[in-house]
Amino acid sequence: MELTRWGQFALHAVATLLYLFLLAPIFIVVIAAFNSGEYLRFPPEGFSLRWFRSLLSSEPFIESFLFSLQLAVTVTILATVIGTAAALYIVRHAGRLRSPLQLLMISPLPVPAILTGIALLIFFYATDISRSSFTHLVIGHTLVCLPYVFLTVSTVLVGFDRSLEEAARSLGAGPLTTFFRITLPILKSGMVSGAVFAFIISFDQFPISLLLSGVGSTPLPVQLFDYLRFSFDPTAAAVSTVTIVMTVIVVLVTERLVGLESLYNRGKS
Amino acid sequence: MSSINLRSLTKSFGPLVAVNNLDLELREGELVAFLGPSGCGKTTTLRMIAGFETADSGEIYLGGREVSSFPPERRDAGMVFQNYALFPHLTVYENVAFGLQMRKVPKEDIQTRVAEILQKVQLTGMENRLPRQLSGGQQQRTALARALVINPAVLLLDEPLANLDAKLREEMRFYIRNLQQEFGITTVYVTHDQAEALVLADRVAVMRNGVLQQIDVPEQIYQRPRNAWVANFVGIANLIPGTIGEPLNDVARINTGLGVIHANGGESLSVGSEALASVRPESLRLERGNGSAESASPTSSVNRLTGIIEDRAYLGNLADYRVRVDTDTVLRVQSAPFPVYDISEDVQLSFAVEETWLVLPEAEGER
Repeated sequence: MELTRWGQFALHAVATLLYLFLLAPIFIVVIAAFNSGEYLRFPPEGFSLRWFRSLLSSEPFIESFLFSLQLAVTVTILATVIGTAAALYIVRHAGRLRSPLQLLMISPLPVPAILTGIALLIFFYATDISRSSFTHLVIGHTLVCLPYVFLTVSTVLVGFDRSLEEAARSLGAGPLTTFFRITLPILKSGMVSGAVFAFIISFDQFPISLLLSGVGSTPLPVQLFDYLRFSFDPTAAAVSTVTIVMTVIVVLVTERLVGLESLYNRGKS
Repeated sequence: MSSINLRSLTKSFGPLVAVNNLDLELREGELVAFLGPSGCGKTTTLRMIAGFETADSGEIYLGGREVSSFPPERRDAGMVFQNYALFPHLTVYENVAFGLQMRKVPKEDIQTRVAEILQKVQLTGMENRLPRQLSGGQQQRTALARALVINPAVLLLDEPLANLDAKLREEMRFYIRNLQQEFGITTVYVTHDQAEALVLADRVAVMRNGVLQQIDVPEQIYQRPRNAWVANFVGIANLIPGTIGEPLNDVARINTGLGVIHANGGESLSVGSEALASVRPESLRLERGNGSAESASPTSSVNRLTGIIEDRAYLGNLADYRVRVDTDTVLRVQSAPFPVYDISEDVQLSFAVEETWLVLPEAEGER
């Protein structure tokens, strides 16, 4: 459909406004982090890196940052492996159970995270599977990250041309070799997108972390929340800026590693 | 190189019998085309030979070895898929080398053999391209190279030309035929395109609803179809129904609504049984006039009919007429575009007895 000149103008205008609307809060936080004043406010009173220095010298923030990183990496690995395996089973072999199982896999998405957190808290107390908050957090985060990996891998699998695997078999590759040499590399794009989602969701996770964190195991968002309750200085903005930069780096690095191009080539020859 | 021998092969998908009690033998180095409409069981048969489907019953012998229980990787069958199934994340070189790597061929040998086969399929210089950077024809040749480089015992081709444009498809027929001859490899070629089957194959196996209708050399399939269904599926056929009469001087006769027609074949048919006379459109000859003279009387070597031109289509190298010979019979006639016969013109039709063939009314598996 050809757009008229006015139509095109309107489309661009709407798109620009939308991006502004989405990005403005982020810019404000980043700008506020470089504030030289004492309070978290906008517009800033002057330019300074003092709040980043203060962040670097704050042991609780450094600790929770490292803790969150460790947590997010563990969760990403677990969610990617389990989500991929689940997608493989459900898309290819579940038969009539496919739809119900798919719903089950993505059910953590519509349930409010705070409810999932409460449910897990009760569950952990009742069953006493583990006393370690880290384990609790890993389980909780993996649960909410799974749907993302499951969905991105499923998308690739639905369009996956099974004759690729048959071709490998006819060329002399056994089922395992075929899986590792053909199936997995083609699923890579979906797995990486899912892993990126999982990492970001875990690193950002607040409601579940709030309920499941314990002494000495405080993820960054919870630490930030605690901090903001007592002091309203730009350290919080500095933390947010670091988080945003981290997220952007993760996205850029994966884009470099896998390339957006591979997303167009999902298992089709 | 091995023979392929299928014995009473049967495969059902739920209530649908995809392949029904199929017996078939391919000699060493022979190319047999499985021809039939979609759903006739040709692809299922191929997939059973390759090991992607398990037969419900029957045996598959490759080179004298019963392989029914073997997984695909142990059957030593090179396969080319309709969509080529090139590995999208591997280069042309890596695609072709894959089968050799699986066979643990030393690296230097792999390089030589891949280079050789790529030269043979004219893809030298394309080694580092990814499949999506190739044209359809190049992808097709990569798939052929990948299947042939492992020197498989048999080559299985599943509609390999279906995704190419018409012009390239015609060139590739000869190309594949030459390659197959050069390698001398026993080949199963699945297609629904009758021209492809006739051009390429040593023998054509015509299938319908899982049942083998006829297997024979292309000329026999076209000129001596076994039943009405084969006659209609391969080329165009004028089929005139009737009952078998007493033969005269060793020439079979069939009593039809158009009178007695002399024909060949039908040795197995008994007098009084139902059959059809099959005549190809190019075997019918047109002449002007309504044939009241002595020229209209049929002899034991030529059949004659009269009719009226009902429609004419100009096809460049020939003209395609529809001639009404009876209230409910219209015959297709293909002749040179000149002279031109006009619509509603009275014509005489003649066709040689040796080009008239008796066929069975029912397809195999329907009695």
